[in-house]
Amino acid sequence: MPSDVSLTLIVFVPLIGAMVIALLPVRTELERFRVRTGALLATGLPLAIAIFDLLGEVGNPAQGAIAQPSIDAPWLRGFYFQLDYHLGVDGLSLMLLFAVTAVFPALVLASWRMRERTRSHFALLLIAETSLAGFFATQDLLLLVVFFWLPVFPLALLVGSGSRPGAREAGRRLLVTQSLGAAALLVAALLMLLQTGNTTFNFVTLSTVGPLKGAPGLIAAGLLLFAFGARMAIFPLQRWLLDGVAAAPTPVAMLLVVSSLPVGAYGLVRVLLGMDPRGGLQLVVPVLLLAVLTLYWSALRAVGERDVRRATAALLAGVSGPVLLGIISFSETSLSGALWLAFALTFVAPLLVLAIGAVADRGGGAEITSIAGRAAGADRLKLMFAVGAASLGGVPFLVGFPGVFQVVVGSFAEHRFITAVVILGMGLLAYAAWRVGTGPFWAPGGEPELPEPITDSRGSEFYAGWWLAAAAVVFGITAGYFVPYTVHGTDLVAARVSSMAPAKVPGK
Amino acid sequence: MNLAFLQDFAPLGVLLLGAVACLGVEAGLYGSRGDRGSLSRWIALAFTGLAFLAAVGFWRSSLGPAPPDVEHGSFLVDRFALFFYAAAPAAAAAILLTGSDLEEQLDPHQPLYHALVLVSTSGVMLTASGADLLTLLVGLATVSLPLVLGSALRKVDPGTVRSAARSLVITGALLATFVAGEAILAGLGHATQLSRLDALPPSPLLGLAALLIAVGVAGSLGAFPLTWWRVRATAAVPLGPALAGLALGALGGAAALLRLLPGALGAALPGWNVAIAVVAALTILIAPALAWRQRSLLAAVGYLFVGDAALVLVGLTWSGRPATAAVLYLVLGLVPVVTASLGLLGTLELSGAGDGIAQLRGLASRSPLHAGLLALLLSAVVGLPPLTGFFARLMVVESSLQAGLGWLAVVVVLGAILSAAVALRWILALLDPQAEGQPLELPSRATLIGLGLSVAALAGFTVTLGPLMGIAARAALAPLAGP
Repeated sequence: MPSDVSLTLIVFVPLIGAMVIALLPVRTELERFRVRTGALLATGLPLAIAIFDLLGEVGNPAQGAIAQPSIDAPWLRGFYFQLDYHLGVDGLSLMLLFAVTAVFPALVLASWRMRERTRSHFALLLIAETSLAGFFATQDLLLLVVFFWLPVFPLALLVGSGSRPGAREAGRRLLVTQSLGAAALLVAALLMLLQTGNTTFNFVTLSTVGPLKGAPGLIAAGLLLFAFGARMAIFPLQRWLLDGVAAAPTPVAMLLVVSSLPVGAYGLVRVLLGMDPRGGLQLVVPVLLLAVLTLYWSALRAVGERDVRRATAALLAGVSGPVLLGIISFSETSLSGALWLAFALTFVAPLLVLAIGAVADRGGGAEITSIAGRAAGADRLKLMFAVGAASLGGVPFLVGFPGVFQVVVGSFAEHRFITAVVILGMGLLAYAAWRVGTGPFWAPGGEPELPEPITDSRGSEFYAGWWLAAAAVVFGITAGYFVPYTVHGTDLVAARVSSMAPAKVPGK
Repeated sequence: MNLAFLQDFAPLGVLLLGAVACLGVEAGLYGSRGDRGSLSRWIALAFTGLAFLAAVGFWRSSLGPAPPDVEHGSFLVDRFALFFYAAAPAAAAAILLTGSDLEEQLDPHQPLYHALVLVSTSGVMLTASGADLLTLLVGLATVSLPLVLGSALRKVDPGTVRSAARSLVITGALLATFVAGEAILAGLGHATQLSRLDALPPSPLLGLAALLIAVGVAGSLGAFPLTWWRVRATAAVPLGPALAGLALGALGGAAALLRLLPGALGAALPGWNVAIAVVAALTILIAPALAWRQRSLLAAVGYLFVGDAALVLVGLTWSGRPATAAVLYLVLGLVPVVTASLGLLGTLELSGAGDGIAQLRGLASRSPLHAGLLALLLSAVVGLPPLTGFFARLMVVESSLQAGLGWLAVVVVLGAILSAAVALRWILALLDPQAEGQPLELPSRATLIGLGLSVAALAGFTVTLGPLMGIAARAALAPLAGP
């Protein structure tokens, strides 16, 4: 099968699945089972294609240059600007696209027990997969804007239609924040097109022809930082994520965290550094400041938070700090680390949310005092949390390690002091994770009687967690095979930024 | 006697024949009293289908590099006209299907209403074929007046009669404004043929003429200063004719404006485009602001549509072919949106569900189909990506930038953000999980088919953006000056 068709299938099979599911009846349990199975098939097929065709097609970059499968068909011609149906993968996007296809079957499994609004839940989930896969697969900036906006609405619906207190408000906040982000991205894209005199939104053209200079470059960079920063939940744009994770049903919260940091990090590397490197260079100081603020603010928030769901969301938002540092350090290694962290979070973030969400769901609330020690006997959930938290903290042989390591190593030469501050912040984040985990999973000593224990993970929920934890371990162990993919993608970006400011930016 | 020339009028003639057939049903010549409405609707649909096929046939025969345009005096059948020849019957079919439930309000005069829709559709064709000022006037009058008369078919109380009379008076005043603009042009150019107006130099009088023409045409769609009137009129008269008036009015108005402004007066663009831009900007900002204040979704959608229609004026500020193609694409996308959204809202109102924010809150839990469709259509009205309105907005923004009117591009973006805020507010209300209420009945089969086709058209217009813009660019080729 040619890979151009593969990419189209990976992106649009879930959308077709969503359309089919939207038409299925859900009156009986059997009919609901069909809906769930349909969703699993619609997420499983893109994964199968990604494994057997996409990864097989590109080969191993460690053994030489990778092939870059793509499809480029004209969509709009004869106008002031051109639009293309242009999908493709390169080193920057391949692993993230693969991660999206791999994580959605787990999200379907985690949603398996949902009884209310089954049809709309799975249909919106699949639309979200199409938009995320499309975001990572597209090679056209306007299509990227479309795919950036597309998941916002399904996410807001899923969050806003939850039954927990504050769900509606959280959905509304998500919608407003992310819509403003999408609007900023659109304006930046138009600015890039008009100011550079290009007539196409093609990534390659925008990355190589006439980069923005001066004030337009700075404005575009600011808009891009706002758009992607809002999606990454950087300081001070975190509330939508925290409220969303706290108010949404657990599977929706998992989807929410998958759709946040990886998208923002990739967008910053691909669009800000790739297409507006001069603007990016002007933002070094503010971005470094934001990196530190995001990391410390989130970690302290996670430490002080009484709601474990919200604390978990704060933990995950905190990872945006090192990711920002890696991006703004501009070296091939730090950029690769930032992208790898985004890749790692695609598995780790939903894993943590699943473990904590399961405890809170079965414990009757997310208040840390009400569930303290009650999951001490839930070994599977405990293991899931441990794998997730350890990955987040950069423990070797887990998926987060290569990311953290590369960010630290790649950033140290350029920003020694800030890197040291970030390393300390990572320690604080690890402490926050420890604190969040010890609450429900470790029984406090000296307590004579504990309330009813929380039952362990079983069935589809366990399979979802197992799938994510296995991914965290497998990609941690085999990082040496996969990291070259991201390094291969980031060397061009790093070289381009270096060429813009050779005196300031270290090379490789 | 050689009657071969009659074939050049085939699409127009087919529609008028259909109107006569519907009038026959109205007169009771055939069909029993009970099913007259349904019978005449299917007759009207059949004739719109025939007219569409005839238009497509004409288009296919003119695909060469230099199409053999047909000209009979002031009646010109070129690619520009053929674009509307195909779009107008399709729009009429959408109106007849999506508005079928609303025809209850017109009982027992549905056949007469169908005849008026067909006449109005033929008016769009006539306008698109107009090669001189008088033909354009007659065409526009044929578009608007039948449906204003149609709104008087329901005379249940003095209020409805007054509303219909007010609509008639304002429509007449708008046509008079249009005539005043045309009269200035005729005076300046000493001619009524469009082809002889293209040498007019920019002058204040030319700017005034263009402004009067724009207000005369776009005013009926709610352009400033008639924004308030348009939406109130839509809410006060039966929804069927109102819906048809908006959809066909948008097509006819766009045809007239494109023929006249960038078409005939394109060379004198700097003399008039700023005046048009000001009207557009005011409408684009006022309409969503008014929509925000509404407690009725029908009124909110009405104002949002007015804001969309003003984008036509934005596209006119540049005389290049891409700008005209963008306007054609914009109008094409507006038709299914307005017919489906107003048709659906009318159905809700008739079923007793109402269209107030309190009544529609939580509709998703009571009727997912209604809520989903409304959410989709609201997204389409305000041009959320990736729907047609998004690309249309993008293209008219580009047109305004080409015209050197950067401030207008900013206004369009601001208007889009305001409109999106209105839509999102309503969508969130529709999806409120805490609200309760009775489930709603599904619309009739004809309405469902119409809604389904409109939604399919929305998706199709996005996917086929390139080919459609290609067709629109070909349509813009023939009559227009500019790059």
